[in-house]
Formats: sequence, C-alpha cells, structure tokens
Amino acid sequence: MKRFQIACGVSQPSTSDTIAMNCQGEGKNVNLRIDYITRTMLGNVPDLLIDLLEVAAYIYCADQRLGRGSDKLTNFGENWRRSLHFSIPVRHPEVWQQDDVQKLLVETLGFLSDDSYSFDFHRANAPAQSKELYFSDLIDASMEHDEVAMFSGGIDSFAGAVDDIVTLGKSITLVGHYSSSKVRNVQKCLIEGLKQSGFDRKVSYIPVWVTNQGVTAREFTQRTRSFLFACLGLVIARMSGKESFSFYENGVVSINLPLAGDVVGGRATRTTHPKVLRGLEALFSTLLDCPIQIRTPLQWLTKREVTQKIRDAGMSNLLSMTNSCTRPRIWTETQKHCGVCSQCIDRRFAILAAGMEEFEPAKNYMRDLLLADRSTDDDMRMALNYVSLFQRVGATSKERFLIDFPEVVSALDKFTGLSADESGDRLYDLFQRHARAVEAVITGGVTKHAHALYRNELPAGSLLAVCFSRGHVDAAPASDYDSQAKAFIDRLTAPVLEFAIETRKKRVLFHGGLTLDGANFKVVDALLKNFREAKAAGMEVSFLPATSLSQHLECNDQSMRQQVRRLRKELDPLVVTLGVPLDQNTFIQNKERAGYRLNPTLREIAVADIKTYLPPTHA
Amino acid sequence: MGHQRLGKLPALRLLPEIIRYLVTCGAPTAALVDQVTAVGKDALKLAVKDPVFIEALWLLVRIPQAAAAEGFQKEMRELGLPSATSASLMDILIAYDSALERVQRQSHSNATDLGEMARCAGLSAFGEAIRDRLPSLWPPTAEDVRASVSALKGTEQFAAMAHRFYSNFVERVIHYYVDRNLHNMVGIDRVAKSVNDLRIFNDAIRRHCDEAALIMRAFAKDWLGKNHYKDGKQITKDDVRRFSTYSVEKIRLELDQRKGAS
Repeated sequence: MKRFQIACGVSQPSTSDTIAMNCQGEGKNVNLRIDYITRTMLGNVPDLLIDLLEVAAYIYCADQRLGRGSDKLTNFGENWRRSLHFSIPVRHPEVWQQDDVQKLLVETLGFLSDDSYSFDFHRANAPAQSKELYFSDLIDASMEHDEVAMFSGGIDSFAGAVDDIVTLGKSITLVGHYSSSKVRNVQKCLIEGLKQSGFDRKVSYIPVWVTNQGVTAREFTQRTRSFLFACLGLVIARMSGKESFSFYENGVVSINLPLAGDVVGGRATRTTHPKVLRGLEALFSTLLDCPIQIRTPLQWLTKREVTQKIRDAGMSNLLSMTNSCTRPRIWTETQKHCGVCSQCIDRRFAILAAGMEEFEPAKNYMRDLLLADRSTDDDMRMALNYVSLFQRVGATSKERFLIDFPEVVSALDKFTGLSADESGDRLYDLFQRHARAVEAVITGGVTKHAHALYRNELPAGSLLAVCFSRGHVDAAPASDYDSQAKAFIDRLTAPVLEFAIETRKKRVLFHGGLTLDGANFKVVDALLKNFREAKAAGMEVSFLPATSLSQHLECNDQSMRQQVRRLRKELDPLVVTLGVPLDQNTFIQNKERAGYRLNPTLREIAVADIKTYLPPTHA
Repeated sequence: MGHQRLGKLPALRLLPEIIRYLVTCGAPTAALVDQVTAVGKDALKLAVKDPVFIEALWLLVRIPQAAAAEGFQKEMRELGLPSATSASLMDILIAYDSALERVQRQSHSNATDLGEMARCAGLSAFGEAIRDRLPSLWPPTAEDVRASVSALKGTEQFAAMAHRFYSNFVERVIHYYVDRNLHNMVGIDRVAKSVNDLRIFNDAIRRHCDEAALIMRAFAKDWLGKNHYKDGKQITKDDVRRFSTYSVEKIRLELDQRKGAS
C-alpha cells in the first residue's frame, strides 16, 4: 500500500514526499467553479459549506493525481489501495476536528474508494479565501425550485428529472459536474430540450467544474467522484434552503455486482451504493447539525423500467441526446457511444428491453449490441461477462442469492424504513427483473434475426451468435458425485502417529522420510523403555522424572528442556506431510512434577513398515 | 486429517483438462496450468498474512461457539458483533460483513484484494452453512437462526464450513487471475467462444477448487476437535493463523498434484 501526504492550501510542499494542492492564489492547481447561481443563493452559503466544497475538491483532485498501480494488480492489488493523509486548512476547525466527523469521513470514503484516509484539519490563515471566487456568472433571476438533484446527462439522471418535472409536476434545480466540455454539452442540450418542451420555468441548471490545473491526472478511476458530486448537491441544496437532494440511479447499478473475478471491492464502483449514501447522509447531518436526506427515487427500478419513465413522460424524442458512454475521447459527431464499455452495454440492453429502439437507432453506437462482430480486441469480454452474470443471476434461487452474490450483503441494512430481510427480498426481485430483461433482449433478438441466424449470416463474434454457439458439450458427473466425495473424506478417522526405531543407526523414523537422530534420538531412547513395557503389558505409560532424563542425557535440567523443545520443533513438518495435529505433547508428553514420557497414543511399528517416500498421489 | 491416508483425492478433472475447455486448436496449455496453479499457491501463502483473511476464518469458529453460549449477547458483543444478536440470517451476515469491513479499513499496511476475496468467501460459506440448517416449512424465528448458527460449533459442521470457505476462496483467486489475464483469449478462434463455454469453464473451475479443498473437511475436523474439545482451548486468532498456515500448505500440495497430466 502506497502512502501519500497531501498538503492543501499551500503553494509549495514542505517535504519532498508531500504534494501541494491549492484552490486559490499562488500555486493554484485545483479548479473549482460553480456557474449560474443567484446572488441570493450566494448569500446563503455559510463558511462551513465552503470548507466542504474545498475538502471535496482536494480529495477528488488528489484521487486523480495519485496512481493506484498498474492494471497488472501486482501482489493482489497491494497498490490499488492507497493510504492518504490530508492536511487541510478550514474556516471551522472545531467542527472538522470532531471525532464523529472524522470517523464518518474515513469510513465512507474508505468504502467508496478502497483507500485508507486520515485528516489533519487546521484553522485557515486569516483572511481565508473569499467564497465569491468560486462562483461565476451570477444571475439575478429568482430560482426557487421544489428540489435539487444531481444530473450527469445519462439515461438515469434524465429519466429521474423528467419523472419529477413532467410526470410529478415538480420544479428542479439540476446540478451537473463535468470535467470535459463534451460532457457539459450533453447536459446543456438536454436542459435546453426540456426548456423547449415547455418546462422552462420548471428547471434550472447549475454546472460545476472541478479539475486539476497544470498537473497531469494519472488515475482515471475517480472513485471519489460521487463524494464530490454529493458535496456539490448538498451545497446547492442548502443554498436553496433545502435539507435533501436526489441521486437518480437505478438499483441494479447502485449495487453494481462485479462482472468479473478481478473486479474486487471498490473496483466495482460504489458511486451510489446505499452504504455510501447513508454514510454521506450521516456525515452531512453531523457537519450541519440537522438531518440531511439523500433521496434515490429510482432505487427499486431496473434500467429498463427507468428508461420507460422517459417514454411515460412523453420525452422519448430526447432519449438519443442522453449519453452514458465512459469514453468521450473517442466520440465522433454522429456516434457518441462506443458500444463496448459496460455502461454502453447496460444502456443498450435497457433501451431494447423497454421497446424504445425507434428513438435511438443502432447506428448511434460504434458497435451494435447484438449484431456487431466483437471478435477483435477486448470487445467480446465485457458483453460476454455481462450476459453471463445476469444469466447466473436469473438462475439463482432466492435462498441462494446472498450465498452466490455475497457482495449484496453490505447494502442490506442501508435502506431506510426496511428490515434487512425486506431489503434482501426486494433486491432479489429487482435483480430477477433485470435478468429477465436481459434474457428478453436476447430471445427477442433471436426471433427478429432468426433467418440471419439460420442462414449463418451473422458474424460468429456477434453477441447473438455467441449466446447460442457451443464449443464444448460437457458430460455431467453422476448426480451424487459431490456428496460421495465429501462422504469419503468424512469417513476418515483421526490419524495415529507411527514411528519406528532403527537401533543400528540410532534413528527414529517417521512416514514421509522425517528422522530424528543424534541428541534427539537420545531423548526418545531414554523414554522408550517405559513406553514399550507399558504397551506390552497393556498398562499406563509411566513418566520419567525430569532429573532422570537429564542424567540419561548427561546434561543439566535447562539443557534437557532445550533439547526437548528442539525435538518438538523438528517434528513440525509432520503436520502437513502426515496431517497430524501437533501440539507440544503430541510426541513427548510433559506433566508437571511427573516428568516426561512418549505419548501413549503413539504407535511403534517395524522399520520395514515405514514409508519413507510418499508418492505424489499421497503427499 | 491425514493427507497421507487419503490416497488420491476425488478429481473429476485435473486442471490441464479444464484449461483445454478454453484453449482449442491444439494451443499449449502447460504454461497456463502452471500459472493458474502458481497464482493459487501464492495467494494462499500471502493470505495468512492478511488480517481480514484471519478474521474471516476466526469468526467462523467463534460465532457458532458464542451462539451456543448461555450469555449469547455478551459473547457476541465481545466478538465485536452487537447487531448479530438480532433475528435473521441476514442480520448475522451483515454483522459478520461489518466486522470484516472494520478490520479491512484499519489495515493500512497489509490490505490487498485477498482480504476482500476472503470476506466474500466467508460470507458465502457462513450463509450456506446456516441456511442448510434452517427450517424450510415455516419462516425461521430468531431462535431457529441461533440454533442453526450454534450447530456449526461441532467439528463436522465446522469442517464442512471450512471446506466451503477454502473452496470459495481459491475459486475467487483463480477467477481473479483467469478473468484478468485471459481476456485476450475470449472470442472467436481464441478461448471461450460462447456464453455456454464460459459457463462450462466456470463450473469446471468451481469443481476443481471444491475438490482441491476437500482435504479441509478432514483437517479442520481434527484440528477443532483436538484444540477446542479435547484440550478445551478458547481458539485465538493466533491459533487460526497457525491452522491456516498448515491448511494452505495442504491445499498448495493438493493444487500441485492436480496440475499433473490428466
């Protein structure tokens, strides 16, 4: 795990292993800008929220500057997790230094990004930066809306917005974070579309720009992005006098089951994971000393059901303007979806499952979901894993859901108003509905393209083809194979430790080739007489007093005890080679005031019966 | 427990044969078999240093013992699992998960993906073992759940759970490697050509791990019987660490044998 020191609010690092970050003034390398808020709202921003904005911007920008190691995940991802220590000047250190605040920050950010955090909050030098510096293009118009919601420009956020605005008649302030102009354009076009559809007075848009400046971002995973996003939402909500704001995200993505075995922990993004959102609520409530709620109105819907909300609101014509693709760098004028990343695949499945293909033609995607040849590069893997995962989900019974998908467990107690059992039931139902939607798209594709499939006209590397081709036919084992294998092991009894004495060479022999000789042999030899006599007579093996054993070994008590310890250590490999549960009395027993003896459970056998070599089929 | 007494453990297929499910056109498989075996062995060796791995296994020993104790709630609190005293299977799993999360976040120096894999392996093994003992004809009560958890304190029940834990863990480790490094082999004329191939391969890997970890049924049974029941010891994390050191060595040997030619 790499450790990093981040000194914030300074122009130069104090030590060579520290990085300096600054939002303002000399050495500024973090951009933070919020546009289009009213002068009235600006008057409502307390210093504590300006602190929060700066803290979030520093964490988000540091996250991008500090690498997580290579994709090779050397030593099982030891560098994926970072240890980050932030030193941040704030206007209200007495609040930020509270144990509760720090604990919630560390726990929530830790689960969100898989990193370990520690913070040193100290008082900002007077005068602290003026808050006006972060707000551009102030407007005078009134912007009183019912709610505040986060807006990315993807299907989910747009569907949530139109559901609230069009279907439920609310007015909404949408907060959009962007780090590229392409993403900002998507958000702006959708807002314009809504306004032109007659909802001009129901919606306003506040774009927020947070980026590193003058330094190259090395890490594109951006796991802390949703922390920044939520902090922005809270600030705008509080500026508007609200105590809640919304994240529009479907429940399946919120839980985000890993698509592959190497997607471990936070590598499956936890952007809107219920545990993160509840953690943020607790953090914000503690900071502000009032209850803050983060609403997730789409939590119990699949992406298909979310997409249908756009149609229900009569906004299908704007569907194709939403964008979910994670690769804006390769977008072209006509194709703004790569069709390969998990978001593109998830989106396309949802649109087809919702029966809304007519509102977004397949040619908008660089790779058609079902028909494109994916046999080159890495294109096949994501699509194949996606279908495989939900095929597995669909085949899983409710009883096995948590057993086969244990990643779900951490969300179970994070749904307000529901017991863990109720949450589990609802999550199972949600994932089943999504699995059925995926299946419906595939089977619907077969029906639609049956002739092309029959005539072998589809590319062999198309998703539709690989869902039905079969390279191998597997003969299943006997139905009771597993239970028989387990029963075979369970019938085994505990082992007996066997040894033999090779008198001529003065050695003790064990199965597998281990031997005791020299001083170790002398110890055994001293105890052998009592052992053999008792075994022959069927009596209890008597202990040899410690003084007698010392005399036999011609040494003092201390040396004798050392020798016994050395002998016991020599036997250690027998645990693995013979499977004997060794403790200090397994071979030579020691009883206080009685002395030493060979353990009566041992079995002496002939030298010829010792198997010095255990073949590979044994151990 | 005796590895030596077992003879050849059951093996429906050895690893080379499993890998041939993936690789067609006569492509060589030996290197891949070596890599998959090596990564499994390395993971097991490193895992015993991971505090989450040790905590995951230790709680599987201690929670059933606590559930069987008269002062159930007090014992659970001492294990750091206050919420596990409430009613359902899910409550127990949440408490187990939260305890591991706490250890994970505290571990600044040794945290790796192995800890996360152990966490998931433990949840699956624990959940399955409890569920198997719950009544199926009526909704389980809090008492049913507690009885089911406390039943796992027996040596044979613990052995079955340890077997599942190690099997799940090794399976996750192999997929961690295979899913990341074989992606270039997924596709036409390369590796798994279809959804069905992928499923068959995944099933075969699961069986491979299950069989490689079978040895734990005997080993864990004898270990718990000897240490807890015969010697009356309260099992500590150090005991579990020692047990794990021996356990992973046995499974490493088993994995080594299973990479032999089929």
